[in-house]
Amino acid sequence: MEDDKHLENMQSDIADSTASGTPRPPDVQIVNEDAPTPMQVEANQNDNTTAHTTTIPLYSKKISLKIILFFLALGVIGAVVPNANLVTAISAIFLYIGMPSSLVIGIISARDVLMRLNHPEMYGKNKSKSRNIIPAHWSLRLIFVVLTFIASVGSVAIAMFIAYVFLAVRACELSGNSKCI
Amino acid sequence: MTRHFKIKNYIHSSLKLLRIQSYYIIALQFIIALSIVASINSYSFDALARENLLAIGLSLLSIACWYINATAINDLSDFEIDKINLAKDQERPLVIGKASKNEIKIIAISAGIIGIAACLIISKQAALLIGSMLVLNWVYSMTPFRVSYRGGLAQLLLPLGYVFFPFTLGFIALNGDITTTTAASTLVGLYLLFGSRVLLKDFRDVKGDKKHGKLTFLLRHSVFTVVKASTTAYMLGLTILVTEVINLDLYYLILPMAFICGVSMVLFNELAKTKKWREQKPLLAPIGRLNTAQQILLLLAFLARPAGFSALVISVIAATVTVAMIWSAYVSLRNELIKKDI
Repeated sequence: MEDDKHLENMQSDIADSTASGTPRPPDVQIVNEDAPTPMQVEANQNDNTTAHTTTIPLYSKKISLKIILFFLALGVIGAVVPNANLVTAISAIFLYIGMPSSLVIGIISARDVLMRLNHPEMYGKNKSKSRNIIPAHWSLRLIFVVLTFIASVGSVAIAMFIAYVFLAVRACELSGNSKCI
Repeated sequence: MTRHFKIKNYIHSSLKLLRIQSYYIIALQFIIALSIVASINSYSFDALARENLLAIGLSLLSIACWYINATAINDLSDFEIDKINLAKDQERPLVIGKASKNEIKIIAISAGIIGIAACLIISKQAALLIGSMLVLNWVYSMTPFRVSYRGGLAQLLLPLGYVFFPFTLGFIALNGDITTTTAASTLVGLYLLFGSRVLLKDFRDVKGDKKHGKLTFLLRHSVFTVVKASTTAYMLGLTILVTEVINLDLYYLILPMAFICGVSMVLFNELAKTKKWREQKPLLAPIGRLNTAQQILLLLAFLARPAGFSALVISVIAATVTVAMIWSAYVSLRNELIKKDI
């Protein structure tokens, strides 16, 4: 802002001098003295406290992925262990871990959404000053909702369901029942 | 003014005083009570509703009358404060000049009488219950007690009307036993969950409350303390309700409840950091909607068992409720933030 004012003053000074009949010197260059030098620009780029170079990381994707992999791993372990008691124990771990995982995903998803809403200019694909990141048409909105749901809660739910089916079928097989699927 | 026009005006003002969204939430407590009666007796909700259609209809009418009486008395009591806080609120006919003080008094008395009459048809117990709740309306808003001016006491007593009354009326109307562990603990859980919501209600009224010396819980303490109290009540209430869902062997229903709890925690945390109304306003509606979502999931848990829903059907309904309510909370938050920008 200060730089702009400085430039404006210089330009108006020059315009005034031209209007008053004073000839403009031939080699006058409009130079903003406060503008950063190339070295300063480089230093600013390295300084991660500068607002417009900061990006806020989204945690929900990574943590959700880790939780999904963990559940799938539980399912796979349950499917290969040879003992019914072990399968039951893994099922119990699965149930107990499900609840805190769900809570954590809720917290990180909400944090990320709030960050996006509060700082829309910080995110690559939505570098607009508007907070309106949802499509306007109702059909596109519906697709947006379904995709968002699958991406956040749905993917974890699907992973949990797969793991649950693996464990249930395995426990059934180990109990000696012939009709487990 | 012709008699026809006057009656039309009374009905119009009464409907405004009913504040339909709040009424839905009160009615939800009543329906949860009905679902518990059905669940405890392993009875289909449909069959139960068909057999007790008159009692259910009268109960819903008496709840509406009680609420109209409550809002009418409160509007009369807080007229000067509402002129500052809610000057353009269409649901306040007295403030916007659509009704006179006398008309509001007549509406309050008529609603009280109709409510007692409806409850008398159900049973004497029901009439006694609504009678005591009408007294609570008076005690809450009018001198000499004026509980609404007494900080935390107001928040402690309000769920009596919003949760205890409709919940107990549900049990009375269907001859259910409210002393069972499930009924009693659910009542406590819902009471706390609603208490957490009530604790946040004073944020919008700070300006007028301050000017007229109405020392609410928020004005007596800090924003941080209010949010802390609200979060504690929320967590305690939810823990009790989750225990009830576990007792019904519906473990997978806890997952969406935990997820919504996580989202609510973030919103509570954001609210605790705010100082101005324009920062607080966008967060309050989403917190309220997510609170309602927990109650709807609880209702689903109680309805699912006697109805014999399969795990897949329950999961699909729970997912739909969760998505719809989180979506609604998100849209509300985004719209308020856009308004804040403008």
